[in-house]
Order: sequence, then structure tokens, then C-alpha cells
Amino acid sequence: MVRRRRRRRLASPIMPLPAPAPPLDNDDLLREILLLLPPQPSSLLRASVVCKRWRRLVSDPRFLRRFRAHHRRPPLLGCFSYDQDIGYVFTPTLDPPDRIPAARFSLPQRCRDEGGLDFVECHHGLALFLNKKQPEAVVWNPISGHQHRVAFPPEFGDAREREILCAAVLCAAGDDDPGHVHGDCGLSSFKLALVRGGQDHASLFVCLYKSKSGLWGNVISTTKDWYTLFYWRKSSVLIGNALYWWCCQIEGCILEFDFKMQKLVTIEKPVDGGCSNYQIMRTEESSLGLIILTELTMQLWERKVSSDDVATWVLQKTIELTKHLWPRQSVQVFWTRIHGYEEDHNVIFLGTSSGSFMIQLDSMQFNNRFQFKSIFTHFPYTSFYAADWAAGGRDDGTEM
Amino acid sequence: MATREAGKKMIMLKSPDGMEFEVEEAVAMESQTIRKMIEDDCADTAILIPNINSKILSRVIEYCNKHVPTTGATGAAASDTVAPAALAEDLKIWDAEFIKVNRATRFDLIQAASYLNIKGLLDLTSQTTIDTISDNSLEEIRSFLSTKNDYLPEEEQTIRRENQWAFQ
Repeated sequence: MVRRRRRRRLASPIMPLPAPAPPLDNDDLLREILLLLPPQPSSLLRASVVCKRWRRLVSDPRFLRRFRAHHRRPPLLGCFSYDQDIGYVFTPTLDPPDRIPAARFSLPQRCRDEGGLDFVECHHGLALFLNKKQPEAVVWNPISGHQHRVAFPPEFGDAREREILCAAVLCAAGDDDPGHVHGDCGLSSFKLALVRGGQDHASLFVCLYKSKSGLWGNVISTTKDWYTLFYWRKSSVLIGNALYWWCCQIEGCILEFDFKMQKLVTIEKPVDGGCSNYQIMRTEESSLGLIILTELTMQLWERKVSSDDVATWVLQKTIELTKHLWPRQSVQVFWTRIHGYEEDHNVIFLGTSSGSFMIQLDSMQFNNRFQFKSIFTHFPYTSFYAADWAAGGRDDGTEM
Repeated sequence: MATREAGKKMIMLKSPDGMEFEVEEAVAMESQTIRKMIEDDCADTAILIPNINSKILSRVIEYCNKHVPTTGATGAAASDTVAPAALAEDLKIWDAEFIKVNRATRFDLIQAASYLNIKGLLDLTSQTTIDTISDNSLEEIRSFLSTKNDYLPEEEQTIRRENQWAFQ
């Protein structure tokens, strides 16, 4: 047995620490406590009104960075969707006091006046539009009000908005800063991907723009064996280093753009009866999944890749919506449609003839307390909603 | 002096008001600060813990006693044994009872947990404080924390007006 060496001491050792102040007078300790505030948008704002010292602590960029890192996942604040009377409008999905009013995220004046912008998607707190009147993409930060316009890549020639089959915007701050946590990403560093179809209807081209350099990268292509008759652009789903889009041609397939490997491929969907509603999803294992909604039955598929690189679709779950949404009443449902999806929260927005539902797919918990007027696509919007007020407020419509 | 009792190494913790607490070394080592002192071989006698009075120190020891992982039958390191779900649930209920203390005691516990670097206790006390902050009005928070509102009325009004939704 090893005996510990003993030293003679005249008195007991005293812990070498300074005399403490009362706990909440100590900035370091208070900061640690405030980090635990919930990620909902009202919590830091409310804390900032307690006193000036609290405001100083919770609006410090280093604190905000740690706050985001602590919570990891920014809250889902609501959705943008199209309203025939007023155009694109925000619908909050959180309850008070976190219910941010629609007016807070009204589109910049110029976007409203032109009326020529088509909403494509939201990622990392940024929204992407394509201009119908001129070949450009508009990236908008709804919280700061800033927007940034990017002309289509020269390699796309005279392509107009309708020829862009898919598009996506992502924050690129993590490329230079591995510690970056999304959730209050600004326009200082983003990337933008645009996909256009070839004139021959047999190929697809993707090009990636990085705002940091202000340059478009090389055009990457793939072939396709389907003809684009009618195209309804859908939001991308980010899984790992790849963006996935559902391509709404007759049969339907998935387009995968791995922006790290610079590879564009098409992926066939599972064999089904057709005439369903499809939505790409990110599975629990962070792999590619697909939701197939047929009337009131929802199938959740996962794409499994074997060790010898053979990919197959595996049915993971079949959900009978009636059981979950109307367990105690008999409801006649004439139609169902997936209006939107958010991959960080694994939430779908389901429209039915008997109401709109926001459903968390892991728990099947749903919320139908909000009212969506729109029967069109919903664009879920997530953000910590902190950096803006901490920095001093919104700037309406300023262009960068 | 460090002693042995039923094969377990004991250590003496002293509070500044003269109380002495004999605890198992493993219990004392729930505090990362004390653990470091022991591992650095400078705590083989009693340890005087300044600034934490005997009332709070006894509560801290009570917490550590409850939370110290039990050594497995094979003699594996305590941290290697995974507490079953039932044990975790039991601890949660125990924690909820433990933290039912008045404001002054809770703040003293936060202070002590930070001072002694006991993560579980710091998380518990901090989270309880955050729950209080989240569930109450600003006036109640200020009163609870004895924090003086140093905003001019118009300054506070401006912040509230700009973000009215957050104060509903």
C-alpha cells in the first residue's frame, strides 16, 4: 500500500480564496446564473430592465455568445407565409411574453413596394428572396432589418427567377470561427446556393456564393432524367454539410448539394403510390429522411447507407394523424398538406381542412393555438433574438 | 487530523465560527476545490473553510453526502458506475426538498457552491434562482434580489415601449 507523504503543519490549511461579496453582487457569479435564463426572446430583454448592471451583463457580446452556446438551439419564433391581401407576413407561434408581433418583422419598404420578391426560405435567422424582375437574390435579416442583394452568377447567363429551381441561404460565420453558434447570425458572413436547370432539360447546375469574398464559386453540374414541367420551389433542409431540396417534378426526387465536397447528385425517393405530399426531414441520427403524407397517414422514411456504400430507404414510422390530432372526436378531413418544416426543432406545419397544426415529430406534441391565414408554404423562423436589441436596435431597410 | 472509520478515509472541515465537521474524503471531494487540495497533497489535516459559516457548511455537506457516487462492488471508480434512473429520480426529489430554503440561505448556498466549486449544487441553486426570475414581475425580481432599479423612469419606459410584447 502506498502511504501518502505527510507534512507537518502548524495549523489547518486555509483555502486560498478572497473574501466573497454577497452572491448577486459578484458579476462573474451573476453572469453564470443569467446564462441559465431560458432561450425565449423575452427573457434577456426582461433581465435587461432589472437594472443597468444587468443590462450591461446580458448585452455583452461575450455573454451572448456563451448564452447561445449554452442553449445551442435558437427558439422557433414563428413563420413567414404569404397572405393574398398583405403579402408576406410573420405569424408568431410562441405564447406571450415571447409572442413577437407580426409588425416587428415587416418586410423592408423596398421589398413591399416592389412586390416582386419571391420568398424562398429561412436559415440561421436569415431569409432569402429571389427577385422576379431582375436576376438577383435578396438576403434579409428580419431582426436587424438589413438586406443584401446578390446578382445571379455570370455563369448562369440570362437566367431569371423562374429558372432558379432551388436556392438556399446559410450563415457562414462557422467557416472562420469553429466556436460560432447560430442563432443571431448577421449578414456579415453568409453563403448562398442557387440551382438552375440546363437549356437541354437534362442537366442541373449549382453555384455557391460567399459574402465574405463577394464571389461566386465554380459551377457544378449533374444530369437529370426528368423534365421540369412545373416547378414549385421548396425550402432546403440542411443535414451535415449538405443541402437537400425536394424537386417537384411528376415523380419527385431529392437533390443533394454537398457544399464541402462540392458535389451535386439526385436521389430517388422511396417507391410509393404517388399523389402524396413529400417533405425532406433530418432524422434523429442526422441523416436524410423523407415524410410522405397521404391523406391522414404520415410515413417517416430514413435513408440508410450500408458499409459498402449502398443506400436504401427504410420505413421508420407510420403515424395515423387522426389518432393524435382528433383522438376524441370524429372529424371529416377533406385535405392535408405539409406547409413547412424546421429541421433543428424537427417540427412540421400541417395544414388541413380542419385547422393548422405545428407538430413536433419526435414527441408528436402539437400546437394549434395560432391562426395561419395562408394556405401557401410557411417559412419557419428561428433566432435567439438578442444581438439586435443588445446592439441598440433595428435599422429599417438599410442596405449593406 | 485525517482519520479512518470503517475503512473510509475521513477529513475534517472547519468553519470560521469554530465548528468542525468530520466527513468522508470522497464526500469532501465533491468540491473540486477541496479535491484539488487533497490531490495536491496539501490537505491531509483539517481544512479551514473561510467565509462559509457552520449553518451553510452543514447544508453543503448534507448535499455532498447525498450526491457522492457510491463505489461499485467491484471497487471500480465511483464515476464509472451509472446511477439507475430510479436513483436519479430520487435525487431530483431530494434536491427539490433541499432547495426549499429562504432567500438568504439560497444565496449563501450559491456563494458556497461557487466558492467550493460544486457544480451540481451551483446548478441547482442557480436554476432555482432563474426560475424565480422567470416566473415573477420585474418589481418582484428587484425586491427578491434586493436590486435597486437605477433606470430613470423615461429610460425604462423607452426600453419597454420598444419591446412592448416582452412585457405583457
